[in-house]
Amino acid sequence: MVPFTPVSWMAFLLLGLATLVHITFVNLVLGFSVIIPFTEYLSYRGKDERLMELAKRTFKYLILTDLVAGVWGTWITIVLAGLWPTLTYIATTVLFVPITVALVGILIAIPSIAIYWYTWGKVSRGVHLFVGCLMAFGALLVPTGFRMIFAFIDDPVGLNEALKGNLYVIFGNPIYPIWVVWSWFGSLAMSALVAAGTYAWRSKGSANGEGVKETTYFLKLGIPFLIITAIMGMYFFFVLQAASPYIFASITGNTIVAHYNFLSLFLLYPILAVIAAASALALFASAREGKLNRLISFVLVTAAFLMIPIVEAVNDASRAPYMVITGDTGLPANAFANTMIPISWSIAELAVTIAVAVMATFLLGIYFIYKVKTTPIAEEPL
Amino acid sequence: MRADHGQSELTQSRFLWLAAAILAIALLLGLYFAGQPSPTSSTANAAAAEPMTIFGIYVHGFFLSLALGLPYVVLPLEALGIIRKDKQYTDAAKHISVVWAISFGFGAVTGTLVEFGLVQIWSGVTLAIGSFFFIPLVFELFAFLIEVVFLALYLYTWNKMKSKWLHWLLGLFLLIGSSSSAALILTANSWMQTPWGTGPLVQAILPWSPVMGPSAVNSTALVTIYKALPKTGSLLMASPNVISSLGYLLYDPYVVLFNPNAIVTTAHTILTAIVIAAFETAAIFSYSYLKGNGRKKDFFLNTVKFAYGVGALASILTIVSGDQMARIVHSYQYLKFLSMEGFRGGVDPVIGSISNFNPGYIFPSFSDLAGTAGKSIDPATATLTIDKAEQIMPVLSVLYYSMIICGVVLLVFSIAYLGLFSRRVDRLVKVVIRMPTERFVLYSSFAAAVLGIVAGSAGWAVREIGRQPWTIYGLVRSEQVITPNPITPLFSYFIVLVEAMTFVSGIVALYFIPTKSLMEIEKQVEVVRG
Repeated sequence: MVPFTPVSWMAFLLLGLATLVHITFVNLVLGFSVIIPFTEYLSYRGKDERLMELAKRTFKYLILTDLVAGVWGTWITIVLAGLWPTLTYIATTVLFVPITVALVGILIAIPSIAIYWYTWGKVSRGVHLFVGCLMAFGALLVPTGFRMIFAFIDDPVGLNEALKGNLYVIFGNPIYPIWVVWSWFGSLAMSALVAAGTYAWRSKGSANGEGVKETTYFLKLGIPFLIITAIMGMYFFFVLQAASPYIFASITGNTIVAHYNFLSLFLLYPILAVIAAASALALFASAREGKLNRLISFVLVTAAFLMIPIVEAVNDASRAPYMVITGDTGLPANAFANTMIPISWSIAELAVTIAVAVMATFLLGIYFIYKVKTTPIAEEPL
Repeated sequence: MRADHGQSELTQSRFLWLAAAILAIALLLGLYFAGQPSPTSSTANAAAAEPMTIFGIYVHGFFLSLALGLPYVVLPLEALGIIRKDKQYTDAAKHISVVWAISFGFGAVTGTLVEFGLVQIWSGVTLAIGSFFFIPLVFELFAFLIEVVFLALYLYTWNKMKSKWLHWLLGLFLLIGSSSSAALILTANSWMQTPWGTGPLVQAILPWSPVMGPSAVNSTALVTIYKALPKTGSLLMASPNVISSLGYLLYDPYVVLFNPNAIVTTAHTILTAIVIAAFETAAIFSYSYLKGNGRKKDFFLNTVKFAYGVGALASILTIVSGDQMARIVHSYQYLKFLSMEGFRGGVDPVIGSISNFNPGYIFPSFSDLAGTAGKSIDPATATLTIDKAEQIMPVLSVLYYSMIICGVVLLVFSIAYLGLFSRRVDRLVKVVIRMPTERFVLYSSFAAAVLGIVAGSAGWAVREIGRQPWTIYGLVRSEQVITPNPITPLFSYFIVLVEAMTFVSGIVALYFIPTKSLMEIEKQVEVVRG
């Protein structure tokens, strides 16, 4: 048993919590960044003004989720630099190329989101769609880079070669490609299903067809993406078995190899996926009859919203008490956490409690803004 | 209508041609830089990384100055609007808050760039400074959260709250959040200037330096880590417990917060940000006033007068805080003091009177300091530091005096501003400048806006260049913390290009979005008048 020290326990939890909130919202940003320009394209092709309006309305969610994701992204960087200095040093040295790819993605995505919004209706359709494509490209590039960090700490392929200067050998990691593709489709499924459920919920169960078209449109996107994500998830499971046996043992409840048992948490993912699929199909069926059930839409939003973060949480937690997995063992978090400053258990517990409280307050604040801001952005000048 | 449409198509076509031309030039430059050789030593690598780091920090600093300084203009304006029940002031506050939001947004984007630059390009910094930065950065996280939440709440609740004072209070929390965030980041930066809590460690290397506060560090661990840089990464992977085997590095993590440099730097930087933001606001509204047809005269003119007043007050206070800054430099970074003053030591009645209240004070010269280098545990490094200070003196003194001149001109403008309230000063302005104070305020706001930016930029350059050749003064040099991965010219060019594009996008947004907002306010004013 490798025990946590106060600082490594605090560092592990603070990083995990921040990553969880960040990745949950980043998935929505990523999915919406692709879905919105695609919706705009379809509206031009089908001369469908309502789809255009839908794209504009959905953009509001993208901005709000991007705000949350950005704030917690900053948290992650600070926690990494302050509490995981050695890990950050090694990661930024060895993973220089993928981190640069992610950075380029961020730098393309953020300005293009702003340009996309403020040029809507002011430039030609082609130019606007081009900006939308840039926005989608930038968003997809972010997990393309950052997923290497996750793949690397699950299975540090090419570490020695990378330390000698061969920075591209790390791309031979078997976990990396499936992580990236799963992230793309997972975020698309999550965003489309959350949007479908939200539009259905906001229709307030009206029988006059309000919100039906919007819900149906997002369900048509979300259900196929969900199926692809589920198939990839199964494949991912078997890749982990070969490439990262410790994590596999941890999520399958094999406590002979792993220190902790995360089987029940892991099982939540397929359960939520099935619930999301069933509720999406039920909503689709009721939408075809021109009705939307609020209870089903609530279940869909909840399941879709939790499904992807659960996988992230399982993957992060199942490494415990290690930070980097090497086969069926690993390098302990204690070795990478900042042990150079005195932190007692009481301070560590206080810091985690405050972080959870702040996180909750922040999310409540965001919810309040969401509630206050019920009218579309374009209609409300600042 | 058709003519307008044709005009619009023409403008768009020109815009696309311009974009294509810029893209072609960017690609050609990219090809040129792709053919350039990569740096082969850590010193060359550090030199290759410097341009993109410096440019990135300045781009970030520009947006940040506005985001930091504008609350000090917006909130008093809003309060004035509430107290006097004058919608003009409220409209002005609302309009400027749009600029504030855009500046914050671009500040956050460019901050991400700077942040990644720090952890990825200067990767050794996390190891070398992580423990010292921990407390200020953790507090900064909370300040940043307060800033983000209250910015969103403040912007989204304009005219939606029953109590106007409650909305104002949201802005006050935002101001506290943004100023605290700045203070904590500046505390981290100040530690790199004066590594507070390291006791006599710096003095052991640079014998002329004073003791840097209490001795709160494990000097053996610190020296081991700094000497091991930048090979510590591979060492750690081979033996993961090596860092923990060194024991605690910092016995009192809170010592960093009590750095005298941090306190003065925070005050000076926030005041400078207010100067920049207030005069920028005054300049924009002066432009609108002078360009306008006179129908919104009161609205523009009153805002100019108010913003100019805030800038004038901050300018006067900046001179006081600047003096304190210079005293800190004199005490803790004496070499920088000599370089920026363009002074080789000895007697200077003016500098002696200001810094030591003694015209006959004899300042130790470069050669006097070189004489003490033998007492250093690393005499070669001590001598290198003196040589570097002499080498950068011409650049540093030009920058320093540019800042001083800008500050003095702004002080004169601030005194002239009093002519709006005093007949005597107004008469003086009329005699000297041959125009009434009101007109002077309108025209001089453009110069003041530029002078504020020049003073702020030059001041920051003095601070950072003056620290050379050190990243952490007296302890760690830049080539020790640079990434071992080569910073190729193509990579450097690409990052500078991205930074430039972000800067241009920000400027365009700062121009177009508030203009749209202003047009809406103008419409409202006309509706009220109509």
